[in-house]
Parts: sequence; structure tokens; C-alpha cells
Amino acid sequence: MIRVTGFVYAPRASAGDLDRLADVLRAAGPELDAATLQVGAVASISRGGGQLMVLAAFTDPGAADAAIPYLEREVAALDGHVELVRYRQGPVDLRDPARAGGVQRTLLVRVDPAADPATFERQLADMPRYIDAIRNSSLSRVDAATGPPWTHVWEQEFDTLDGLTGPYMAHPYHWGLVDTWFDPQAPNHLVDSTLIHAACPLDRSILALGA
Amino acid sequence: MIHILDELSVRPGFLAEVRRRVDDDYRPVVTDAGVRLVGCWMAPPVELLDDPTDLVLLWEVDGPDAYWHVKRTAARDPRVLAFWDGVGPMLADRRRRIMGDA
Repeated sequence: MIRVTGFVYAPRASAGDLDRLADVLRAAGPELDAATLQVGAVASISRGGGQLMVLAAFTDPGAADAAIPYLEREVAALDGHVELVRYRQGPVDLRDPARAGGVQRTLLVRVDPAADPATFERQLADMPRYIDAIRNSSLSRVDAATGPPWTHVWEQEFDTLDGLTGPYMAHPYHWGLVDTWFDPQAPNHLVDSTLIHAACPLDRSILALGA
Repeated sequence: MIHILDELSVRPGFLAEVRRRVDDDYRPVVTDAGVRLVGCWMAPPVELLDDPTDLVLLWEVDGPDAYWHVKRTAARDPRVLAFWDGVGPMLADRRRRIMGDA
């Protein structure tokens, strides 16, 4: 499965404009030959995620490539821009493949290109083995980005936003182990402090499509 | 309670300077963010002339919420980052362990 994830930044657009844009993008899914194309309002707990998240999946790589300029044009019409990453869906850990609703959380990071990311990737991907609130998850390497040179996409699906802000953040596997990769004070730090951490409502599991 | 253990392997001749920088430059900033110094030790208990000596610092914060507060504040503070950059050449190695109650 080829994934395209986008973060829409349109600070001058009204709430109505954003709602209409979201409807237009959702409706374009079949025409873009997307296996799914979901659009959700970015939750207030997010950091750097703009106003809307676009979550798309494609079986045809060419369709994914064609969707990118389409999304850019539609957002530009609102005097905004969309930051997009394209990637082949990485290994998926599914605990709830039939999930409908819930919350998608996407973390977009840039790992130091001089570092070996193997242990970081393994420990990050292992999080659902320790943290039950993560219902489905997947760590992918980015193939192409329209903005900064992002290297990894870490996606999780939760039942509710509380699962992300509560058990996920409070779990010792998170703050005691995984977070050291993100901590500028830790000697094993390798994730750039500029990142996108965003969550939005989910229609149905998108990660299940890539399993 | 969360404990943070810093093990700094200090090159010969730099132990006093690293200790001074911890006290003068680092500790005040992280203390303001809610981090408390529990203790500071050296191992072995004499500064070696030809090999690194470990400076071991044990810190504590109240829990996960306090830990994330430190991440949002002190861990991004330019004074903290300047401290680690500054002592870096004086260290042969260092290790940081985040510890919970067993």
C-alpha cells in the first residue's frame, strides 16, 4: 500500500472554507483511485499539524503520485499549502483491524542521517506490545516529502484522544525508553526537535488496509 | 517518582570543571523546571590521572507529567543545550538512564 499523508495549513481560511475543502477532498477519493481518502480536523493537542490532516492510501503508485499535485492545487485555492509525505506503508501492528471511528495520530520526524536508526525503529515499533491504548500502528520510512526532509512516519490508531494523551504519554516504556531518542539531553538522541505531531478523527482504520 | 541517572565519564583533569558547570550552569535551570538533584558521586572516589573518572549524578522528578514538563521546558532551553555542548569535549563518554521504581 502506498500512503500519502498531508497537513493543510490555511491560516486565513474560515472554518466554513476548511469544511468545504475537506468535503471536496473526500469526494475526490474515487476519482484519484484512492483505496481510502480521509480528511479530519487536527486536534488542539497537536504540534505543527496545521488545520486538516489528509490520510490517503493507494494500491497504484502512479495514483499516489498524481494525487499529490491535486491536493496541492486544492489547498492553494484557499491561499494555503499542504505539507505532504509519500511512503510505502511499513509493517503494521493490528490489534483492532475492523475499527471504525477513533483517533489517528501521526508523528512525522527527521532522524539524523548519519545515525543508524535500527534500534530506534525497533523500539518505536514495539510500543503497542507494551501500551494497550495503541490499537493499530505502523512505522514507515518516507520516500518523498514536499517540505522538510522527513525520514519516518509513526502512525497509531486510538479509541479516543484520551488514549493518546493519557496512557500513551504516561507509560514508562514511552518516557523511560523511547523518548530518549527524542531528548536533546540524551546521548542517544537522534530525532530532530522539529517535528509534526498531529491527531484527527478517523472514519475507519487506514492502517488495516496496509496489513 | 522518576529518577534520572547521568553517568559522565570525565577525562583526566576536568572533573572539577565539569562539576562546577553542573552546579553553576545546569542545575539552576533544571531545578526551575522541577528536577531535583538527589546526589552526586565520583567513581572511583579519587580522580584518576591517566583514565576517565565517572561523575555520577542522580536526579528526580515527581512523575510522568513532571517529566514531560521538563521535556517541554528545560530540555529545549539553550542554556541546557549549551551546557551539554560545553562539557562534551571534557567527557570520554556519557550515559543517561531513566529509572522507575522496581
